[in-house]
Amino acid sequence: MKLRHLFCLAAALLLLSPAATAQSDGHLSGSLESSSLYDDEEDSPYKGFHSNNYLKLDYRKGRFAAGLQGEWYPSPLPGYDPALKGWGLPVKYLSWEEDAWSVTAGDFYEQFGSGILLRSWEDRNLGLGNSLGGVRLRASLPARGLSVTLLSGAPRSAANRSGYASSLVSGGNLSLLPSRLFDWDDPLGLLFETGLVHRYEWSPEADMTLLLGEEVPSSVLLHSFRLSADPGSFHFSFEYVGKGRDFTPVRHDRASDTYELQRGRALTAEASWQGGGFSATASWRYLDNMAFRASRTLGTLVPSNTLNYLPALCQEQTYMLAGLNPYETFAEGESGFRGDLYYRFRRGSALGGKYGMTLHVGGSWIEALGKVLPRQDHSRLAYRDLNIDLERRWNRRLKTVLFVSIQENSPTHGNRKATEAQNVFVFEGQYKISDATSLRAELQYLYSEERERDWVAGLVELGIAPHWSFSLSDMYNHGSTKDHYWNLSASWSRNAFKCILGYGRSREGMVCSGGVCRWQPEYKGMFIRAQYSF
Amino acid sequence: MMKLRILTAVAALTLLFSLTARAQRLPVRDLEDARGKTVSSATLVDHKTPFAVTFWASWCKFCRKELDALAEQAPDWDTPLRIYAVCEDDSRSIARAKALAAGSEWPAVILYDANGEFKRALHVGDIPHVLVFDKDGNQVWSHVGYIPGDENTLVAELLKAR
Repeated sequence: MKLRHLFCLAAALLLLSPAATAQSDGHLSGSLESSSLYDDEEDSPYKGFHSNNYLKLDYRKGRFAAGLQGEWYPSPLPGYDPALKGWGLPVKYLSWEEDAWSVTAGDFYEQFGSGILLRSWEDRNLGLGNSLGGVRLRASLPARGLSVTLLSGAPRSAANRSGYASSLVSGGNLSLLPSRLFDWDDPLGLLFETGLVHRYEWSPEADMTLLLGEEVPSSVLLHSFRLSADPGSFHFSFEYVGKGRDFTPVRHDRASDTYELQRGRALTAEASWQGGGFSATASWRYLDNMAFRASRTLGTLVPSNTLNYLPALCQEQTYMLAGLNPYETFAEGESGFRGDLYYRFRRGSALGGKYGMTLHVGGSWIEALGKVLPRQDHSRLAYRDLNIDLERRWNRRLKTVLFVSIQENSPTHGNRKATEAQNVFVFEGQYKISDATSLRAELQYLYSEERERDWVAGLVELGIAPHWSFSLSDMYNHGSTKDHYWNLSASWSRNAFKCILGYGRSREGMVCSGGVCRWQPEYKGMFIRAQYSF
Repeated sequence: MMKLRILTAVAALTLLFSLTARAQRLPVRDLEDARGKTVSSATLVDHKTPFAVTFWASWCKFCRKELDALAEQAPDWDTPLRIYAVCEDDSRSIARAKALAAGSEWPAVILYDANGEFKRALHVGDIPHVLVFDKDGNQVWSHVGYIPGDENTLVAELLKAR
């Protein structure tokens, strides 16, 4: 039935499109994305065909807009929630936009501040989509530097492909520029933001009350203040988020988990400076009991069961081996610092040469608060890393990158003294054979005395612009398991269409996108991914 | 058999869309500049010259390669081209993206799309993804992915749209 509905709606929008465009400014746009895998490993629990498919359509005519997103999972890809199987229409909306205000009814995405207070967004790589279904009103007075967002809606259910969680999220966010509001001449460029979010959860599960020993409150209120300043080439921002008493698991030394009602708070501060080819940024973040979920009983089992954004503070690694054991935020309690320095050696300088050179040095240091996971052996270190990369073009054809990453990770988030260290070294070279043909190669080595010990990896990629790209890569663990994880792929793109066909073996582990991670099992087989937008 | 029918229907719909679809208009959404001030995407349309919108992020190697490649050939352009590089970094890495952009020589105005609203409105999936709009904000070309050499096609499309 849902299949019929989806196609009827799609067909109606399709029929509307040419007529509308011919007569007015009505317009239909959309995208189609499909990722499929055939796992051919005999003893794999995922043997067989798996596929995730998305169709998104938006129709706009003047100030009116409507849209939908259909999703079809004949069998979700390995690592995605099996409950997604089947058809769903998780996003459908109507909206009206005037110059100074807009209203949306249906499913929408929203972010307040940096997202610690509230964030609903979609990330298909994670199988994450936590849109809110309800009403949103936005109003702004740009001349007075004011903008307001008010919303109320039920989060998309994380437990199935469509439908809503048994909770209601309501809130508002106000941002103002004091200089415009009060006609000040403000050399600091101050921007102030404040927000309030309330979550009401119907009938919190009885077992939560049993675990806690007292009644679990249905309502939780969060509030935030954010201030940023931009005096010249310097930027500074500060944010505070407070959270009311909420159901929280507390892990004690010898006993199993217990549960308490705890308040939460988050503090972030960020400063950056730039000038003369040099730029630097420093961030500090403190999190204490800041997990904020649509369904408290579902916990962390499904990525979509979140209402705020708590990404890992450290650098998101892009090289295969550097991202092998990523760090995940410990929302129950951590404090961390991150700094990045960039320097661009200008063209024609002694070190920059004819084409210039870029140096980046960055690092992070994150500690567990020790309040939730009582520290033992006097260790609190959860994660630290130091990353250095140097990028230089030597001539019109050759460009190289040298990258070093030194990482130390506590598998217990600072609860035990033992940590795992790994040092990653990468050399990347790109050679332009002609204007349209290029060859890129990566050679990577991971040195570690823990876990699976040493790894080596390589990648070769041939690009033939504007349509073709071929790549071959292999990650080999020569420290203990002697396993190969290889991939062969070809991609073809033309305008807004792109298709990748490949065959390979993927390692079990955490897959992260934007600092949020999900577990992915091992699989081997043929994969195809296609996307098209219009 | 049922699955095959569904796949065929989806493929037919896609083909039909591609044949009937008209040029997409630049959607109006709020973006931010490097100082966090709101910039409406409507201000990108000046009714005089075409422009390109390219989506990038600090963690996207190929996006940065494309912008670097444009920076390398920019000194050879006869007239400046209007390119807007819309950053898809979220709150986690936006400071790093700003530092990276400030230290680069990219021939583009950098804008920030913190929760991906502009990207979603343009139906952009994977990045890099570049779109060329004519002087009135009608989309005339788009390309997903980056292969070294694609920057020449982008420049040619921008010049063609004049």
